[in-house]
Amino acid sequence: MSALDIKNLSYIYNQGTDLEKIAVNNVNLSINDGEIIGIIGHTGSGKSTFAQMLSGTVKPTAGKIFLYGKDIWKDYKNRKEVYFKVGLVFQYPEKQLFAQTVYEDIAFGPKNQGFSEGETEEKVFEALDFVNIDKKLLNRSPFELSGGEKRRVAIAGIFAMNPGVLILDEPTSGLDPISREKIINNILSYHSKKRGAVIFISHFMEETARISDRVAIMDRGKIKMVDTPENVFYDYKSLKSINLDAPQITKIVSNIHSKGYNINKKIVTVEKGTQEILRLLRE
Amino acid sequence: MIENVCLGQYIPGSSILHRLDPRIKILSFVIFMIISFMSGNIFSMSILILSVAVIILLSGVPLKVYFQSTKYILFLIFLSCVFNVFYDYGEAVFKFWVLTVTLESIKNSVIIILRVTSLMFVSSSVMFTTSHSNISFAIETFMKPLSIFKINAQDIATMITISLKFVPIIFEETNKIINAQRSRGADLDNKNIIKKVKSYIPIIFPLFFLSFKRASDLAVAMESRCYNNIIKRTSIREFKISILDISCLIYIIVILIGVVYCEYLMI
Ligand SMILES: Nc1ncnc2c1ncn2[C@@H]1O[C@H](COP(=O)(O)OP(=O)(O)OP(=O)(O)O)[C@@H](O)[C@H]1O
Ligand SMILES: [Mg+2]
Repeated sequence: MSALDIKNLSYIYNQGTDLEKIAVNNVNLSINDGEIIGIIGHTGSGKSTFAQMLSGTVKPTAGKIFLYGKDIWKDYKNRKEVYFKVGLVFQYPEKQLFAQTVYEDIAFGPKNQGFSEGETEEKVFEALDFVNIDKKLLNRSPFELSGGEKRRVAIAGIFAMNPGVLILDEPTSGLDPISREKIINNILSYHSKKRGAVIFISHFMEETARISDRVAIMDRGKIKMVDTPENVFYDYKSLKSINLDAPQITKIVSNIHSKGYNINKKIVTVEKGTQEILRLLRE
Repeated sequence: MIENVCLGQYIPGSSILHRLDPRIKILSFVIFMIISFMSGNIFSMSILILSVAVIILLSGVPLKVYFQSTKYILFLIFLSCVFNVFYDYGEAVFKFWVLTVTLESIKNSVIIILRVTSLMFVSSSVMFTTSHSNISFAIETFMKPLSIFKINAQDIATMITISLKFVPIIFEETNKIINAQRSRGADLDNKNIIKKVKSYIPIIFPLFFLSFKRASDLAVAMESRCYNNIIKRTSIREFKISILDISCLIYIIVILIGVVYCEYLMI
């Protein structure tokens, strides 16, 4: 069964005024349980608006969202049921940290879910394991941490709620390569243990290609294409026309291919690319 | 949709109100304040409402936006006026349980609602049609005389401009944080007042933190570009009083005379 079914979803900011802006325009998409779907799109293409609608925090202007087959604005009497099933890591989530200690901040979600002190503690420690944060930091103030650590604490706050559908809105933006890598691995380790659906929004083609089962391209509020990373990225020249790009390795193999060599150009990861180039060299 | 137009936002445009000199707009607004607090009978009230309608029309901003951006304040005023109706004085119209409604109290409530709504709408019309830098220019002009008390008009004008600019930003930020905490299960709709206050801590804390950080970042940014109050700054635009500005002043003075006539001279 699909985790999320999105039907004719639209969102319009400032409807009826001169400032009217269609942020999401009639989107249809099905997201399967257990899959990681990457969403890429230029700045202002509507990714964040889309993510907030999926999490139930923003009400669509038109269209429907079915979570495990149930309409989130009709069949769920309680908003919180939706919030607890769908976890959204907002863009720049470190802005929402508030508690006096890291522990309390991560525990905020599970406590609101109604877990006892003991259960909450278990969940906080489990979430800490996913994000690889030293237990020594638990009693520090979240405001004293570095940017990357703050980000991981905020993500742990969502992991601790154990959502079936996990949405991450640009979780790696503004971080150094090592911190980005860490966050990607945190997401993968959460996913490998919990399964469930993961929706991963990013401006980094490399990491999107690496972790996604499918990639959706958003352009001016519409979903232009949904396919495997290989099929989405190999035609990188047409991606340029909507201000997107492909991973470097894809461009390299594509250029080698266009010079007349017999190389598979549907390659998006460095490992596969290396193998393919070595194979070509040996021939 | 509260993320729409917020209180005090500037909406670019080219209506008659947009083209007025900001100093004239602020001056007219001050006169309008006097007018609205003077009007208290049916004739002056009609003049007041009519003049507000004309101002809204000339601003080129739809009436809907006026209601939208002031709805929370209007709601509060409406609520307090509803309570005011039960405030027991004058001649009773009807009694219900311990509540007494008098003709006097109804009249007072209606007058207060109309006055405050007019004021809110006219001040909104000024804010909608005047860019922040123009407002600060006008404020600076009016504060110039204060320099004899060693008050620097330019500094105060800059401070006011910055505060005005921060309002919509903080407003948007608040919405974002509210959504983020809601999705973590924060219980913001609790009826119990103590619990409600407590449940807003996860919103107020990050908001304060971000606001202070933003303010200090801005201060550093301004200082690093050598902002100081020693040199005299000039405005990028030269303002000249035009026929339009004169007509505006005449309009507002005619209304003032009309209201004064209705209130004090007509019997
Ligand atoms: N609060 C708002 N009011 C009005 N318009 C908005 C608001 N938020 C977003 N928009 C507009 O809606 C469109 C989509 O915005 P959104 O934030 O969803 O884009 P995005 O794809 O997440 O961009 P980014 O990659 O920069 O995060 C943009 O054109 C933006 O200007
Ligand atoms: Mg975004």
